[in-house]
Amino acid sequence: MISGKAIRSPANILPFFFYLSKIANPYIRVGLQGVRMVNNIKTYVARRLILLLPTVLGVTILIFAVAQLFDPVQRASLYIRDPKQLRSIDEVIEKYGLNQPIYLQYFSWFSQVLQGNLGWSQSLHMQVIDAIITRFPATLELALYAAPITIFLGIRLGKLSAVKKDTLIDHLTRAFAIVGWSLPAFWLGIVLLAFFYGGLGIFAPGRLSPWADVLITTGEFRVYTGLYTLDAILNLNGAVFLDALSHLILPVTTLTIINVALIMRIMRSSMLEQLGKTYIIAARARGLDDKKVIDKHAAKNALIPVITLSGLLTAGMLSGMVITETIFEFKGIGYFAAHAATQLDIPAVLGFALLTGIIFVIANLIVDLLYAYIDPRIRLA
Amino acid sequence: MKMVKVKGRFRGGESPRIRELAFILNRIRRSPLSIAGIIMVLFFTFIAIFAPVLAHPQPNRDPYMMPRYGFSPIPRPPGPDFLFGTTEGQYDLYYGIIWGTRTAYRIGVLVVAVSMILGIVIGSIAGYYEGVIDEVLMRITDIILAFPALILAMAFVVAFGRGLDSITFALILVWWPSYARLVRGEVLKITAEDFVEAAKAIGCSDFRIMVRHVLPNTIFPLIVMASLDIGSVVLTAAALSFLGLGAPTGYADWGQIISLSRNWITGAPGNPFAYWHTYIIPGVFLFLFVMGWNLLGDALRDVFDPMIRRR
Repeated sequence: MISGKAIRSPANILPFFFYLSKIANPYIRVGLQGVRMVNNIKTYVARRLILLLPTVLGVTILIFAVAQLFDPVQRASLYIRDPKQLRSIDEVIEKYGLNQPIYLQYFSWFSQVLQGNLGWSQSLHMQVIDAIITRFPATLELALYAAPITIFLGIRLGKLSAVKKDTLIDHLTRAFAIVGWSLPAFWLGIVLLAFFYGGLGIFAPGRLSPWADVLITTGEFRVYTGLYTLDAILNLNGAVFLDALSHLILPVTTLTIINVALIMRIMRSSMLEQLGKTYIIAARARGLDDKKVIDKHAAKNALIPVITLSGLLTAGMLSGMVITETIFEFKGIGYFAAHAATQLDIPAVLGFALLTGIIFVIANLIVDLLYAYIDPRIRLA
Repeated sequence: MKMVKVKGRFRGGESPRIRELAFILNRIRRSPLSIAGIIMVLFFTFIAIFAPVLAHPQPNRDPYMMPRYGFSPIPRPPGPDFLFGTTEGQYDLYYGIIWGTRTAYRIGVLVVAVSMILGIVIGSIAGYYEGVIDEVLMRITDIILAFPALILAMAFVVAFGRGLDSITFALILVWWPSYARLVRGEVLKITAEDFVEAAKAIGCSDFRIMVRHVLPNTIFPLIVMASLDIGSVVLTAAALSFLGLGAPTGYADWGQIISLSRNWITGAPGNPFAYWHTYIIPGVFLFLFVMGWNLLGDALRDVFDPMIRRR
């Protein structure tokens, strides 16, 4: 604080410097803190990255352990890149050491995984890694629509429910959350399809209508990204855009209804916790209007736990929505995995599970880092 | 100690245990959602227990296999012969739903109970001995919890081979880590308390401290988690059955019964909802079962959690 005395007595130069240092001091302190903060984040990131390695290794070991439940002949397809090899399984077993001690097998399998070889999928007649890559855009497109809508709605409803605690709005949103939480996703999908597709004849399953599919395969329509709504915009083709969008409506609705409850619950309880804190009472006592108190003060702090959940939700969607994609015949990686599972296509299921595990480990890392960035208590602990 | 005045119909006497019970009952009585949850759970428990009375199994047949009346694929609507109609392949829906309740309970209770026992044993070892054992056990739980339950369970089911037993076993493998984590956390918290120190000081064995002093204090969070989990376990198992990884066709299992309706959602020409019963009826039962357990779990949490209950 600047004392009045220092300003009123500029007779000698010393108090002036004293005065300057008093002004500068907070800035110096903040600067130092900033440097310390960056350092802390650096060590935190380093620590988290080091912790990441054993988890990733653990994930691969678990998948490898599941693979051990099969006999070597079945397991051989985990190593095959070319269908010609299927005829000489014994050679494959020999080549990759499937009769050797288990730790040697693990290294040989792991080195194949590192080279991007996840085996041969018999249900799709292609390499598992190629199957995942070709089907990923569909999953990505669905997730890009479903995740933001779910997160946004969950936050809004949770906030509303907390602010209007114990009113009719609160009871209704909570009832909606309990229903959404208990609904079987596959059944909701069937009911939506029965009503809209069966009853009204709109929103057919699949990603595109047959005419649009033909358009895409004939080459008039260039596929840039595999996200059909985006490709339609790039091709300036409004009809395909609307068609792709109409096929997205039901899956996105299903995903939103099922998942919004999770975010809502956390947002509501976190918001209620914040609203009960003294800084909110202080802000209100200072005469801040209600909207500002809720949006600028309480909601910002209440969002912190929601971040974790949103991150994991997005990761869950990106790693394939097995049930939703299956019901709506939306051919992403979840659809692929479910079909592979029913046909006991071992490499496909294990490759998919491995990918999912790694996506989740990375998502957890990103969430933790975001957390640390937002909340200093975590990185300083 | 300050006496807490108990309001409401149920009044306790001087004994703290009876007062506690009175408090719990009053608390539940005031919440309509809790009562709804309890009624739903009681309803399904009743159906599961009296399944042989409600739907007579045919003699010399596996009671869990739904009886078939004819071989036409087209479902028959509900009527006097078949209360809920028949589904694809002329399986009796009413029979399937009644016995499906037993299937749901069998999977839900088995998975939760076994996971809980595994969780208690592993979690208390990790929490009590700490150090290297703790580190190793918790890293194992980390790895399993790194996967979404459905995906890892799916991989396990493919490895064990199709079937309900595989689903049960796979779900146990996926579910125990969350119990181990919960128990470990509680054990760590409780072993830091003075009464555990006192028990150590008078020479109690580790086992006695664990069983008589620590574990009884972890029981409430476990009960809450278990009741919330029964719904999720049944939902996940039904999803796996729906995908076609469950029991052989004709087994009384809600997930499979719903998947049998998939060909009939577009209805008949001129009557789009002709086969509504094939998907609406089993779905509503599954939904109410899960919701009942979720509501019960919520109610128990409100009652048992000392942090939120007195508000």
